[in-house]
Amino acid sequence: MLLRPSPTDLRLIAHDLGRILAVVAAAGLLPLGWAIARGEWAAAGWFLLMIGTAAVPAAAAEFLGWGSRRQRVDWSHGLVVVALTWLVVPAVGTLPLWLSRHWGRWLDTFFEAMSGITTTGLSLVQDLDHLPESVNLWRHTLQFLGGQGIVLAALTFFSASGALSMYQAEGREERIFPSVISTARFIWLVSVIHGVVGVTVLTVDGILVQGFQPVRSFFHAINVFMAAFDTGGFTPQSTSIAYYHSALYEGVLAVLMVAGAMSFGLHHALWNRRRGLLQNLEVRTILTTFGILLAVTIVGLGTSGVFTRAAALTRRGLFQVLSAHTGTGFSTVSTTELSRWSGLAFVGITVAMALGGMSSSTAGGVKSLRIGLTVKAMADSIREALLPEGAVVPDTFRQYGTQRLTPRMAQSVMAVSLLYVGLYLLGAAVGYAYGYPLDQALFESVSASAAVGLSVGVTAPGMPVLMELVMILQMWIGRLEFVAVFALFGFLASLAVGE
Amino acid sequence: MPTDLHPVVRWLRRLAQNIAQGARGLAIEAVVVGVLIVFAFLLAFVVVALR
Repeated sequence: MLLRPSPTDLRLIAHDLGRILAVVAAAGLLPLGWAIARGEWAAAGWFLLMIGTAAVPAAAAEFLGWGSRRQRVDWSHGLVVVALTWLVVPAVGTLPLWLSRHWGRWLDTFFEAMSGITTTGLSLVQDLDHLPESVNLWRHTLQFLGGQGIVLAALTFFSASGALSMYQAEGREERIFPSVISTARFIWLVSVIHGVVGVTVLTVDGILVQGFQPVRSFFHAINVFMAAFDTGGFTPQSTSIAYYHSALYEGVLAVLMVAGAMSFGLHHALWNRRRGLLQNLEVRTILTTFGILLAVTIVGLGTSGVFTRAAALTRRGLFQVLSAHTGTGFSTVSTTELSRWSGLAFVGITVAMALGGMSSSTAGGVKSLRIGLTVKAMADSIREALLPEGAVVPDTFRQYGTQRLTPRMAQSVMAVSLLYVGLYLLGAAVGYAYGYPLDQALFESVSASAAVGLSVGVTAPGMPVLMELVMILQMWIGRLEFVAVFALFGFLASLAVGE
Repeated sequence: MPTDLHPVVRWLRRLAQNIAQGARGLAIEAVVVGVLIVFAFLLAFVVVALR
């Protein structure tokens, strides 16, 4: 029997959502400040409207004291808050996008905001190159908020009971420190240090190599940094990273993409000189898949004759594989050119997108730890079948120490991996039903579900509404890794039929 | 860390420590990318030469 949530439960959820909206309002100050500094007065008005829209319910929930009767907060409460957050925040975030009139219909702005917050990077913007700078900055800020974890951002400022469930519901499994707040602060520290270094180098490159004015160079650097470190993939210009024609720029972004796809636990281990990291199952898995898929893509591109010189083949091939495997979605080749990559190169990029980065990173996809554990579980089963009866197959693996792969853990890992495969196939089926070639429909579906953002041209203004809705759903479910979404559906069911 | 230091000095020391740790992390990430570049180039060179 389902228990209907009480009015107090609903108030608590509204209160937590209010606090998260307060963070959105605070984040809106960044593009507002930029709009004022650059004299984009109309855009400044749009941001004021958005900040007000976010701040009023936040203040109301606080003023009405809806969080004051916080008693027992169960696990599902946090999951529901997170699932709702990732619908409400993009809805509020659409306001400046919609008012800028660079999107065809409101649903396109919701798609854009969802793509931003889930760090996907697929875009339906029209005439991106003439979008007001502050609105462009807001697109990238959404990616930064989403990559860091919007709920995590709120937890940094507001302590809350149920923090652990909210933290884990955002797709982060490991706590680096015993306290979620300390873990959140460490994540911010890593981001700030990468940000300072990344933005400085990119700004200097922009000024010295590309001849940008300092302010313009800084604008590009900060946007591209947010999209790279948070494996988002939005760029300020329509030609993505090809716009910069700079090997140094691409090199810096490659480092930032790798950093973004690394788990924050690995960052902590590297910072503290922990030894034996190459023994970790997740590190071994991602290095192996990177190596294999890079080789597959390079061989595919080389044999198909797309590139005739080794240097060009290395530069384009490596950047695309890195972009796909880290879930970023930057591109140094045009959409048309990418759609012509066939055979092994197409397979290499698509599989790289599907696998994704590390767990507890800003990347999406199935994640390397699940891949490693799935392979280990299967290998153990085969070994058990081949060895004599009674032989013991060790069920341990290395991941920051020795851990045991229990049957329950193996089942859970395989279930989530299968759900991802199902999500990939769902979008491919819908795209195919609308008449897109199967390979292109699958590519775009994987790109949306694994929060990558590479496109072969299927995602475009005017795409079918149902397909757009399915891709929004894929981005939302894929980013939250299913559990929080299922909890929300259960909560809604208990509201409807609970007693 | 000594506790008899002025809070500002302690904060600065902590900041310097964090920057040093972050620099180490960034250096390792750059090395990983460097290894991938070398691996990709060698492979691309062989593929182009054999084609």
